[in-house]
Amino acid sequence: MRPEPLIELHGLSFTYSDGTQALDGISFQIRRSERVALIGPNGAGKSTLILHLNGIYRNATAVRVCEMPVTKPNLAEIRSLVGMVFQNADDQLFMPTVFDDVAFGPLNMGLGADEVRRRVTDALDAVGMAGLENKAPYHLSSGQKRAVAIATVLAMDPQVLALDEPVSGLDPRGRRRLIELLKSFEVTLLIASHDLELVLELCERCILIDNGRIIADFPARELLSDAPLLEAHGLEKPWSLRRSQE
Amino acid sequence: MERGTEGDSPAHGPAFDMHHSYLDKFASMDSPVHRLDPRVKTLAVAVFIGFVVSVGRREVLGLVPFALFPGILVAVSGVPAGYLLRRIAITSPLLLSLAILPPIFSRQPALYFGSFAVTVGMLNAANLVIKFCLCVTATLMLTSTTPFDRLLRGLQWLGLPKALLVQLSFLYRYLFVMADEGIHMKVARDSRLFARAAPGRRLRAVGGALGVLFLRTLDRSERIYAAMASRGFDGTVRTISELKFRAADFVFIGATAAYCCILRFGLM
Ligand SMILES: Nc1ncnc2c1ncn2[C@@H]1O[C@H](COP(=O)(O)OP(=O)(O)OP(=O)(O)O)[C@@H](O)[C@H]1O
Ligand SMILES: [Mg+2]
Repeated sequence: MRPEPLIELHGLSFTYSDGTQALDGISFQIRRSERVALIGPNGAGKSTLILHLNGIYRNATAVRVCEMPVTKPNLAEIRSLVGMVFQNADDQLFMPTVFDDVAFGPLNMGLGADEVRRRVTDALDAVGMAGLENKAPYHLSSGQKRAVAIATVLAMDPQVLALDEPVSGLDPRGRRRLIELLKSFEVTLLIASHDLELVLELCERCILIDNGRIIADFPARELLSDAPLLEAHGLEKPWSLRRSQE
Repeated sequence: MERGTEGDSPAHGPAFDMHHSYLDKFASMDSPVHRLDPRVKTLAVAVFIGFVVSVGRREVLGLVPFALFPGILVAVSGVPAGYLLRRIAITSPLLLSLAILPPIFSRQPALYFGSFAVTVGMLNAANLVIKFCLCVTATLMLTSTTPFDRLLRGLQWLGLPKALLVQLSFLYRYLFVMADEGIHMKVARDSRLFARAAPGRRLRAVGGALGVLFLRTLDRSERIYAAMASRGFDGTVRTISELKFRAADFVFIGATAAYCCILRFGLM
């Protein structure tokens, strides 16, 4: 039996208030333990899509998380199920200390002080940032910020981790560390990224969107080998695939 | 003595990095003063300021022993005196413009040194200057030995409204980010030969830039709100209070209160 779907989209469309249609009839499912990449050129609608998954933009009919429609009464639960890591870590780290920031989510979930402390320690351990508890987030390097941002959602023990451009702005070592870190997780992953090598390494499935529509939804290796398709949508076939097939 | 490797050192990072530790620049050092509970420190400074302000307006010599409190704090904390003096100097124009008035308006003699008459106004002015310096130094010692978040917790404990403190905390956090954004925009502008533009165009460009900065800030606040909402924010900011009073805190607040009382009531 296949694992149950954690995220279901049925014909999701979205238009911004200035009239830009960012999403146009998107449908797919993500099942437990899947690692899915969302690729597409700038402005394709990746970020907009991700913001629908935990109800920042709400669509009760088209989006279901763990069999729940995204409605106001379900929001609190849905937000603890879907951990969201945003494109810009500075927007995500808003508390005065790393500890307070990582504790923010668990405290909002109503957990007790001891449990919160345990979760903060575990989450910071998991991302290799133990010992930074009392640092101010604005004193961290970009790589550290990204890792701490991931810890802030890990501490809520989510079922799905959705990451928007997780490695943009990181140096090669920071990028490598983050990839290894994400590989070590067992949670279901949805990653929006332009870094196709990363996609190839981390995800078994890949969804290509452009202009708010799904163009292709295939196993990552297959989709990323299709140079003409990628080029038609502003992307390039990853180098590692080119060499291996020439 | 530095604990962290924060962006304090001038050798570190680009120009806008300097904004980072504007208020609590020396707060990451370690000393008995730094280790005091922020609530106790805030309360002690508030008590001290209350007593200093309550001293009569003609008292001058009686105020001098009050300098012992900030003096000890400075000496024990290791915060450079030069930094404090510079901070006081920044406020001095305000102080001088206030201190210049009494000697002009109250000229009746209060006491004589030989044939030199010291007027009431002069006493008032000296009194004002000393009080001001005492209070500013004490406050600076509080803010420069306490990380900003702990300072806010101290203020919260003293009864300041939580909503205000949350706002202060966000202001402090994102001031740097906004300053960065402003600097980036200025750099982008200057690298496109802004200095050679005609004055009229320049004015319009500055207006436009301010508008964009405002919109960017609005966008950012929306993104921050989204991040907060994603982690279950419901209007209350929660933290685990790890503050604990220690024996040294009680000794400190007791000594401060006793010292202030002796000075104040010994004078009457
Ligand atoms: N707040 C907004 N108001 C109006 N239009 C917006 C807003 N945010 C995004 N858009 C538009 O919606 C479309 C999709 O944008 P989105 O940010 O989802 O793209 P993306 O795939 O994440 O792109 P990128 O790879 O550059 O991050 C774009 O055409 C964009 O201009
Ligand atoms: Mg995006």
